[in-house]
Amino acid sequence: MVERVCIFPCGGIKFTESTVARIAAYIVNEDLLPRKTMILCVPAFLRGVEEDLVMVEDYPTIVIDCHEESCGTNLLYLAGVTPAARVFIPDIAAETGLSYGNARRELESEANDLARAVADAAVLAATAMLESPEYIFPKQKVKTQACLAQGKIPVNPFHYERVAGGIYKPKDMPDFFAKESVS
Amino acid sequence: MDTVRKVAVYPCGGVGFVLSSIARYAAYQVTEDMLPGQTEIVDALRLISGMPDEVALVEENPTVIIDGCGYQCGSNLFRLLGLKPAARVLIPPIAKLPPTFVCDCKKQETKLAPGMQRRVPSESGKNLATEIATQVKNIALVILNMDYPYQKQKLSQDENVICDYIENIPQAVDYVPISEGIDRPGSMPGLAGME
Repeated sequence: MVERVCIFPCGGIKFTESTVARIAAYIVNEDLLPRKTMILCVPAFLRGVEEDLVMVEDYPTIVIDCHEESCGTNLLYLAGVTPAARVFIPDIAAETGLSYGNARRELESEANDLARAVADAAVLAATAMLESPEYIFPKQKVKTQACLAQGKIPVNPFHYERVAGGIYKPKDMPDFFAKESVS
Repeated sequence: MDTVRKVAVYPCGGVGFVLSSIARYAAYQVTEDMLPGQTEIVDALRLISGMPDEVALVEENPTVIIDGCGYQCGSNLFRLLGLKPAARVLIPPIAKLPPTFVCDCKKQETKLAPGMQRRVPSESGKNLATEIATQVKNIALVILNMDYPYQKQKLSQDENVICDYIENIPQAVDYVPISEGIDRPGSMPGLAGME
């Protein structure tokens, strides 16, 4: 059980998918789990802003990857931080049949529905971490020496395992769902 | 030196503060409405991941950074990558000035406050975004049309210290002021007609 969970929407801006990730994070942080979640801001993290460092070192992080490029996961790998879980938007889009639309600036209605579905998946994982007495998060330490923009990041660096629809867990991180609770 | 055909626009990439939403909204306005095809938005996370097209964008084209708040994280990322922007627009000082994107008769009633909404900016937040976008567009037009002598840059992929708080970003980046809220590194070309 943890007191708070860090939500990390991939931080992209180019694709409509990244807007879906960001809006999903706001839905979790403002509407569904206020005061129990924090949003990681990557530029501030790289800038050394203390609250963003504490967020990922002392609390479990749920990264929301919007695309196969997995930029959110890549950033955590570069910084030596293992996420507690990953929500993968393409899976949720495929399962729900909802589309991203074409508007990056302000999402279209269906893309907002997709953002809500992504938020629901993040809340499912976060609630398990917040409420399960068995869940123990191992605190981490950020790696402060890194080579940025090299493009030499292994595919699936955390060896994600699917634990529920659109939700993955790194192989070496603790389970957060009771085995019988998800399909 | 080649003729500049495109200007990269890099909004700080933040997600926590409303000001980062303003920066992002302004970047979409410039690249989609004001100068489509002549400007392109920089995606910080794709850049950090080393996506070749994103790396090429910032190496081959001059970049205008939009820093949302006093942390100046956008400028800091360029510092970490060993890149120099052509110019930097810092939102807070511009938010205190009268808007330039409306006629004189509308200036009194046009509020530029960032507001409280992160998902989609409020009306005054959109006004502020439009003002920032207008400033970025003006800089981009100078770069595109005034024989700006851009020398292609090479991004640094060397090991670097990340997550380390730098007290004085303007000093670290060697910014010199052009006007209120607009700076450029001292070693980068001047912006003709703006300084």
